[in-house]
Amino acid sequence: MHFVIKAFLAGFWLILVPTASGALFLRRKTTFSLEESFLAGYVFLFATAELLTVPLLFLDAPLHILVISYGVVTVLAAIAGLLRMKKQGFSKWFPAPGRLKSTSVFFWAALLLIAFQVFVVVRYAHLDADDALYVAASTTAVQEDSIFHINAYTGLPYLTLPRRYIFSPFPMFLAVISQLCGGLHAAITAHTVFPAVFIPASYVAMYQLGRKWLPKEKDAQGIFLFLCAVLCWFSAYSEYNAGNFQMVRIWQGKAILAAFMVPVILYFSLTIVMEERPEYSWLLYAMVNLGTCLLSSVGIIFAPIMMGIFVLMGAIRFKSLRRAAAGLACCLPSVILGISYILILVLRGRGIL
Amino acid sequence: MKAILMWIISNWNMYWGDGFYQYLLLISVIYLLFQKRKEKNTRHTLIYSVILLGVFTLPFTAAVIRACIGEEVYWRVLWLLPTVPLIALAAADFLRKRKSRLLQIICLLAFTGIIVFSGKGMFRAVNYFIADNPQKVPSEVAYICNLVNERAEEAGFSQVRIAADDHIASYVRVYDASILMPYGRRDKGALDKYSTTLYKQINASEPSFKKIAKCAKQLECHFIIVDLRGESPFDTFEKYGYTKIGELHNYTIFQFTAQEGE
Repeated sequence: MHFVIKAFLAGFWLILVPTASGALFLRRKTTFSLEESFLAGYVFLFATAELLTVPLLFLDAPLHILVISYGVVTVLAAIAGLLRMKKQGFSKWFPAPGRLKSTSVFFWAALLLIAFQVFVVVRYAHLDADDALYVAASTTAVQEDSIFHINAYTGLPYLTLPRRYIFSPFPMFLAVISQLCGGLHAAITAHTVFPAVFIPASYVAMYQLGRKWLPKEKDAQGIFLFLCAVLCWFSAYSEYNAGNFQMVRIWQGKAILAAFMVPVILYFSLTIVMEERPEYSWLLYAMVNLGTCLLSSVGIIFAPIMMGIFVLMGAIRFKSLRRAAAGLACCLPSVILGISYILILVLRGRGIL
Repeated sequence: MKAILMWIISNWNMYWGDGFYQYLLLISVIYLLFQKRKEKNTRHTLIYSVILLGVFTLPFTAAVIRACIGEEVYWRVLWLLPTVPLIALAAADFLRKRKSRLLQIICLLAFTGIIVFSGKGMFRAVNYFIADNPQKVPSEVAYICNLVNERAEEAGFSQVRIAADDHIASYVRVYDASILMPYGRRDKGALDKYSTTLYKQINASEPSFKKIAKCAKQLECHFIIVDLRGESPFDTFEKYGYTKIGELHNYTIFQFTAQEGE
């Protein structure tokens, strides 16, 4: 298939579908921005991918079943989201020339810097040996039409389930997207398409935080975003920090967790748990937890740590056990997956699995 | 207790490397405490950050998290600290209060300079190179995979298995998942003791070419990609049915050309 068509499909599945489907989960707001919808959309997409992949993996289903079910569910959600957006009028989301003129010069400078970063990461390559598992698991899934049944290292069937990855099957998300993009090679999707989407996505999450912290201060929000971009670019002082992961291996689930999902959890914690009248639904907060589990096995632990701290703070601030209960219920996906993980260890120890 | 505290400190130091972002964070938090603590969203973020640092630092919580995520990746807990947003917020708030646009720009440039000094640029860290293939794997991997597939088709192999060192082996199945391997990166997924021996020998500084050829044949590897390190052990490989078919940089490529059963 022609590269332009594949690029169009990538834009459809990675920008249009999340942005449209996100609108479905912003019912509490009479007006919302495209950025909010985009973030909520990715939370929904990650949660959906987790919810579909884990059962299909245990059912021995082929990859194409996952591709079809993911495609159908997310497109239906996107259509429903578009209908919801239509109620507000589509013209609202296209910036009027007057609005563009009033945009802060600092914001434009930030956009320029982010565009430069995206160009560098898309144009250049970075070698990361972790791809031997994370990207090879996707190419293997596509090659064998299977979900984590073939060892990515050798190409032979797994003798035992890869317990660290079965509950965080982000490589399958990559495989699904590569198939939905007209069969684009999973390594190209990872190394070229994902950086073009997830580096800006990380800044969208940070920009939303800036808006929350500096409301109605356009210049300050622009400066905030610009400095975030500078700070991330100069994060090569160690290879362990989130900024470095963002800049050199954003296609891996753990990097998306560090660069994108952590600011997203922070944003939704501030706007749901720490607001007297939550701006978004608790369902969305539960999906944040579930979606984080998709990205990395440490995500299964990290999401409840972050969310748990905020739930504790919220419960104390509002002296509300109900809020605490709602918040803890949102952490259930992590708890269930954590218990399942331990169960697998025990069963395997007894030679049952 | 002392051991776990030292281990926590070593994780902390490892995370921040040779940069000064941790000091920028400290200054930012102090600034925000004095200047923006009355604003609830900032206050909540600061309280969260302090609790998180407590979770990271306290031996009990550290031990629990370590048991869950593993000792070698404990530093990842610091991902949960909103370092970049908090530093940017403090600087943006400081600049917001400068009334003159010129002063704002001068201060912004000064802050940018401080960040440049405190960190290390992605280019300076030599993180990027221009790849000659769209999959962005090392060029020798793409070349070897293409050559191997071409030769396999000519020889009529229905499936291809290759043995290579870690540098090549890590990316072979990223580029082409139809190629099988006897082991993966760092010997992960090794099939049996022959795989492990082969892995060790092919990555050794002084490899035994006899063991490499013998194990590769035992594991039914159709191709061996090996750095001969200036030696010419072609007879050894020939003895086990492998013939040299090409060279690339330091690597020599052997193909199994003997008839079955030989």
